[in-house]
Amino acid sequence: MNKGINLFKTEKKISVAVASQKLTVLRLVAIGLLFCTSAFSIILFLLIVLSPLPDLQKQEKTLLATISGSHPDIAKLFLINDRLKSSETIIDKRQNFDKSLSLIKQRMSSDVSITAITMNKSTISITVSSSSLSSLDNFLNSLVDAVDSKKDFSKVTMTNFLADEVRDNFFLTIEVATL
Amino acid sequence: MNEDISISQNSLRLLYYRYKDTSYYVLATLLFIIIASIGIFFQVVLPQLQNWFSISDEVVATRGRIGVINRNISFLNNVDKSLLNKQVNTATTALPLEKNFGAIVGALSDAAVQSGVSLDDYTFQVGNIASVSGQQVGIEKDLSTVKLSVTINGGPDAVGIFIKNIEEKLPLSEVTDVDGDVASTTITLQFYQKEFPHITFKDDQPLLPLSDKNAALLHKLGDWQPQEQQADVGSEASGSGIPLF
Repeated sequence: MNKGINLFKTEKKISVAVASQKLTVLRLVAIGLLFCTSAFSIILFLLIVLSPLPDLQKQEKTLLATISGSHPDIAKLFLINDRLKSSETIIDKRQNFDKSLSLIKQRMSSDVSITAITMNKSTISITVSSSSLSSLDNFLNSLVDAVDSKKDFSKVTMTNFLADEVRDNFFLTIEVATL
Repeated sequence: MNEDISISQNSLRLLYYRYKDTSYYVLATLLFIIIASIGIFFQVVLPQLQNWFSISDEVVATRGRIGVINRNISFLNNVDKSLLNKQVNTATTALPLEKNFGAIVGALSDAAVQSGVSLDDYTFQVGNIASVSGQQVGIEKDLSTVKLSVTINGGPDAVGIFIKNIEEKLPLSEVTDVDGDVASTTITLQFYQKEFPHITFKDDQPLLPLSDKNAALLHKLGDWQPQEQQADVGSEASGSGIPLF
């Protein structure tokens, strides 16, 4: 036969071989990607399915049921803490009138006595009496010393002084502020 | 219709045969596979991965909660119920849930006895006995007070002792004003109450024992508590089934 009438080109065989080779590479890449994606998905699926979460949730539910029986005790603990917090605030912030009174009395000699007393949150006013002016003077000086040395009292104000000549008594009224 | 489809299939077939051996076909197919893989990765694998991470986080969180609940259960099992009831009693005697005039009178009476003046020497001048519920009374919100004035037939010496004694009695009180002379002294006091707190507790919140400071305070309040009330709690504690709330 005349080769001239052969319509097929001679390069055809080479072209098929190259295409086949490319197809193989392509298949390999495709299979590789498919394998990686599938494997990753399966591994993740298994990890999710085999997760201990359901068991842990069951365990938590059981424990919550157990602890629910102790809720009254928990409420008691909270109640105690709440009361103690408020009690502490009250005790810490309330005025110590007895201590203030005691500090004033410590500075009084035996012939000085308290005849009137007024105490509130802002002021402590005390009227003392004595037949001796010297004793009153000592008392006043001791308070002034305490203020000067910033011990116990921050301020002392003499508001009144009265001499009762009939009873031979002197009255001194002072206002003190504690530290 | 069918013809259209067959024409379309034929066209595709022709295109396939036209380009299958060219570099365009390989490139297009490779691009398609890469894009499809990326699409699958983002649409399927990544959500699964995120799901797995969230599950892992939840596992860690659940384990933590279980640990806390276990410790709470263990803590509550070790709590001495009778001691707890006693502590509740002491704390609520110090700061009652509502006005308790009986306890107030009892405290005044005890303080009077200890300060050396008889109860007969007192004149109660109960003013506004309504508690100021929910209002701030100077010290803390939610504290309400009952104010009353007590006249002691005694001099300033007795006043100091009385104030000291009444402040070491339960329910807790505060002396706000003192006004007196040699013959008698009027003391204004306020006794505190506090409503039941709004407790918001989660079971996975760790329970803590009383701090040393609170334990010391509770001990001090216990010392201030009237003896007969302590005895009442002791007998009550033996009946462990009494619900408090």
